[in-house]
Amino acid sequence: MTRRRRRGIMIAGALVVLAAAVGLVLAALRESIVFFHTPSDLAAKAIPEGQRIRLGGLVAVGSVKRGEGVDVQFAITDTAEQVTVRYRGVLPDLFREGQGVVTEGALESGRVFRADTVLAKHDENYMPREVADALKEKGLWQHGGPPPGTGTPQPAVEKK
Amino acid sequence: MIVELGHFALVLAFLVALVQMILPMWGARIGDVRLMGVGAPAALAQFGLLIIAFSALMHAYVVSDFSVANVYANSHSTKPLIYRISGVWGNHEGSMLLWVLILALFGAAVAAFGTNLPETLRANVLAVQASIALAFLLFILLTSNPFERLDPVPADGRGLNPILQDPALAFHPPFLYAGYVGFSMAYSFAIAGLIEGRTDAAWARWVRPWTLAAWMFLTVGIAMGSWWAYYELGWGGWWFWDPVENASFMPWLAGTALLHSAVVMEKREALKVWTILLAILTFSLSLMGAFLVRSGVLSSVHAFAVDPKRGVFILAIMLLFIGGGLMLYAARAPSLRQGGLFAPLSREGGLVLNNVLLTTATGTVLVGTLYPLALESINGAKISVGAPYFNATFVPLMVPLLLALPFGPLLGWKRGDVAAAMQRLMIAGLLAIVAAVVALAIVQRGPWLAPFAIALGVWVVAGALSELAFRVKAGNADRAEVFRRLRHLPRSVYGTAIAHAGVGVMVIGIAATSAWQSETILTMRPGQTVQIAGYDVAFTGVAPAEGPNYREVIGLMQVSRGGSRITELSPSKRQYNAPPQATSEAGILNALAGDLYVVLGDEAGDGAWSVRLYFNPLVRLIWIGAVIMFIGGACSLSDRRLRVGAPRRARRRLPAAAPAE
Amino acid sequence: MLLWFGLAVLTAVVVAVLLRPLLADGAVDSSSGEARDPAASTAVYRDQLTEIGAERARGLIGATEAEAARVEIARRLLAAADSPKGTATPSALRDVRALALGLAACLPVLAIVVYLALGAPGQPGQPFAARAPEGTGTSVEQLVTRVEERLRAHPEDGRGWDVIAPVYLRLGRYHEAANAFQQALRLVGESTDRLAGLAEAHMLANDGMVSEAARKAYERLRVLAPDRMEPRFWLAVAAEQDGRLAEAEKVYAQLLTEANAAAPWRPTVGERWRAVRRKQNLPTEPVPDGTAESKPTSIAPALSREDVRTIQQLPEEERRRMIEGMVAGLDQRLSENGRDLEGWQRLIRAYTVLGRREDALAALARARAALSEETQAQDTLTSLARSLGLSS
Repeated sequence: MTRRRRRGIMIAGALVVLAAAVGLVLAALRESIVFFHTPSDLAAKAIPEGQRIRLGGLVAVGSVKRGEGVDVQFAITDTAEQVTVRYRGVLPDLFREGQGVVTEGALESGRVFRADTVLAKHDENYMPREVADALKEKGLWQHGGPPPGTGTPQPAVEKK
Repeated sequence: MIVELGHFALVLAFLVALVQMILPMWGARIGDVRLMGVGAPAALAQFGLLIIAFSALMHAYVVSDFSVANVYANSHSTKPLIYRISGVWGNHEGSMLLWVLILALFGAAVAAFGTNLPETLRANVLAVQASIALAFLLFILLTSNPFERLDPVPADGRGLNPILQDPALAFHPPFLYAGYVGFSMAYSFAIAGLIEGRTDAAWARWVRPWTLAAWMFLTVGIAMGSWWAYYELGWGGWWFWDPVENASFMPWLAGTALLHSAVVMEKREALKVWTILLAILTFSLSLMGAFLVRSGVLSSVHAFAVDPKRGVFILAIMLLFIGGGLMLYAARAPSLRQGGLFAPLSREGGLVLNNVLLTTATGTVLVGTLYPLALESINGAKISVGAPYFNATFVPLMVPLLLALPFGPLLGWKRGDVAAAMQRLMIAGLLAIVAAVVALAIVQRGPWLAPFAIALGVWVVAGALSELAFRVKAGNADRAEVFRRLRHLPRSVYGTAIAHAGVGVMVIGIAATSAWQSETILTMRPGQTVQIAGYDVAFTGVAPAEGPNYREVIGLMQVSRGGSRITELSPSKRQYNAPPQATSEAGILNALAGDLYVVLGDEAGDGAWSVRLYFNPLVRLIWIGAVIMFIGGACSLSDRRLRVGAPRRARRRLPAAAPAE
Repeated sequence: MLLWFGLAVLTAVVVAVLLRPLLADGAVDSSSGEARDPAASTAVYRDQLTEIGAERARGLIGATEAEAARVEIARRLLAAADSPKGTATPSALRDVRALALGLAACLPVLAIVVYLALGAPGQPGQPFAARAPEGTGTSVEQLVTRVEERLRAHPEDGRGWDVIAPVYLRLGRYHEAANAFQQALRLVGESTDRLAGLAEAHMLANDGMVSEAARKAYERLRVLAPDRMEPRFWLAVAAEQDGRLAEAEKVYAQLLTEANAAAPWRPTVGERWRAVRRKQNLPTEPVPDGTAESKPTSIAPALSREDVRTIQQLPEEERRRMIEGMVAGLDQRLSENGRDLEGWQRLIRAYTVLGRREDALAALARARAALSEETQAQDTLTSLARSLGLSS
């Protein structure tokens, strides 16, 4: 075998692997990525029931209801719209009313969101990224400044 | 005073790095020995100064000197001593200081133990290494100075995030950084080699111990991070394909490829162009990891824009070193001479396959990590790319790699005999099939792919052992002969076999725990018993307790099996004082067959609590596998071949020992 | 002084280390430097040759492969030996001494300049342990430390929590303040001050967001002290944050209508009101106005949050005096212009709260007289009197 032919075989082999990988990536990106939506998006767009999405916003104050066993129901709001979420399981430590949260799951009939994953904010300074961005878009959160909902008069914030 | 001394040492280290970057490289260019000679003492001085700076900061943490802004922001006077120490690198500024300290440690190791290197190569390597240190020291001094002071001094600190108050934090970041930063050596060697036009088999051998050491540290660092996430986050998961995890995983994949391609370069002088490129890319991925984690781009695209100084600075560093490296590469690579010939089916061919698959896999992880960021900055759509994506792309690439893995070491250089290799792997193949059948018989549930994955793991382990058996002629020679051969086998052969077996062990663990994890979530009243995976777990109630800087509620769980009591697990919910934050501590029972993992949820009223229980079969094998890989690396690192190359061999110590110090 | 000495020593050592190779006798280095370079790579190749020998001896590779490999390595060996590299000369740079001198001069100067720009050489280290035990001092921090120690030992000491809570609030330790107020409320009992403090601490701890805990505290406070302005305002902010804009707007408007023109918080509330209107796409002019003579004026403290806080921290006596001053002002205004039902209601309620029953009864009578033509007003006054226990 000549040097060129050997090289040719190897380059062809590498290209086959690469092509396979590109195919896998494209297929996976089409099928397994999950879009993030806010309650307003759900109201505005027709998102089919059963499609896997992430829903994020603030846990509406006073909405958390514990049902049988470990069933929990709460509402996610982005201050304009509100969506009821059902979840079965243990809520994360930092899950609190009025705080940011991201859930993953699918819509059920009756516009109820059935979540199988609930991610609360990670630490005291962190708000789930998508939630923060979505709230910012609504003008409720100024950059670097205080968190959602505070376009409030801010003599209050003297915190260092 | 100690704080200020540390600050001054940091400034001085910056200037020394400047000298170390300019003089040795200039000396190598004009051939002046005295200028080149500055490199080694400068590297040692830089390391010494950073030790002073780092110790000063650590001292400030230990004595809780809240006049230091960094201590105030991340520590508290009631924090236990160990977390005051590990808290030094539990924050941005401190971790950057640790980063440059380790960078300087590698530089100093080359200065101290690299006497087997040609003078000019060593000078250039030290200069390139210093240029990296210079960039990061400038970054620290300008944007992330850990020695900033506060006046007036606050009464007490704000405390460390409780999730970080864990013994794992003491070890995980230093190991991870030693890995990340260790690949800077491969980069420095590559750039120095390109500058000099010296990229030959000897170069590959010189760069190998550094790459190997970095790879070992990164392996253990990632495994520790996974273990920590497993028991701390309370979700029973050991890998989340989270961007931060991916940031450390990509350099690992590329570094693994580099280790293998450097073997070809060392033995046959082939794949030169590719190996040099891989060395540059591996460190580039490390830099990208630093950028992703440190710039805040992950927590929010907007966070990056809010405090642009840090993010833009790291981005600039990254572009400078990646761009500069690749430009030099583009200019010099065409002039590199071709190396030895080999057939596609040969040891070299196997290593090429390894490289193709590993780098492609790195690419898929890269796409999955960056795609959401790219999409969002293009059209604002917010998506998350999670486990399903990676399972669909990364895993299929690993299957052929694992299938082919046992063949590699059994093939000869230049031209391999596949039929002979197959014959030698017969037993391994049989064992794998038996394992699949046994797995199917025992569990009888879960995805059909799971037994296949178990078989794959067994195949890799048995294949690695088959290689050893073949080398010592086990079965063909008498016992004394086998024993003699075992003793005389080069340690690198052992290293290869052990590391490969570690991969197999890890695959078994991953397959078993992913496919057959069982999970129960329920509300338990005191006295209630629940069954999971053959265990009876009885909830007897909760008890309050108090720690040094937290209060907690402990759930009391009696675990028994077949009527005999095994142990008591005490998962708890903690409320820390400063900062006030809640965490869950899982109760974990380790057994041979797997982990029983219990998490206490919320109070459901009437003394009932929600409880989450998992049984994770064979999950420990994942981390045991990583440790085995580390041992394999260490074994290979201690091979005498890596010490060869200097005229005065007797006087020197092991270069291998250097990075471990 | 000691610091400067330390810095000087450190700099001197570093400069010495860097200069040593530059000033070393060139001849010694050059010989080894010249010899080393090719030697380094040839050593590697020689080793590879021996390795092949060993592998051949163990039968790991065949004779032909071994021979081929040997040829390959020998070729590399020759190439390395021929390599022109390593012809380093010690004298390539003539002015090494000048360079060394320049380095010795520049390095310390640069280091000091950069350090002075970034560092704080005058500030001593202040370890926690060295600061705390000076127990005789009376700085706020030392007091806090002592109270904290006591509370660690006796966590059920409600008075301690009560003392430390406002101090935490003032020091900016909001989370701890919230916790302390909570403990004080639990152990000592409910009071408007504690509730106000608790709510404020929760809010400040959340960067100005009216959290669930703050909202509950304000709601309770509104029940206990309906005349205070701040629960109404912050609950409106909470409503706004929950997206109930119309509701928030209504309260803001009410506050503005009741406000004294000179009230320092007026512009803030006005700003909020405008913002809420904007969000609902409503016109933002004119701002509701209570400054006309005829409009009622609230007795709620016409004060900024700072002032409220100051008042809360005043001694009981002074605070009472201040509030009474404000009530007197309202009384005065109503005497001049009595056609203000709401103002009368406030005045009557205020006198009752202050325990001045006689004045309350007098005010009731005056209100009845001033509003004698309005039957609806009379009914309201009657029911108010009944609820306050003023009706005979």
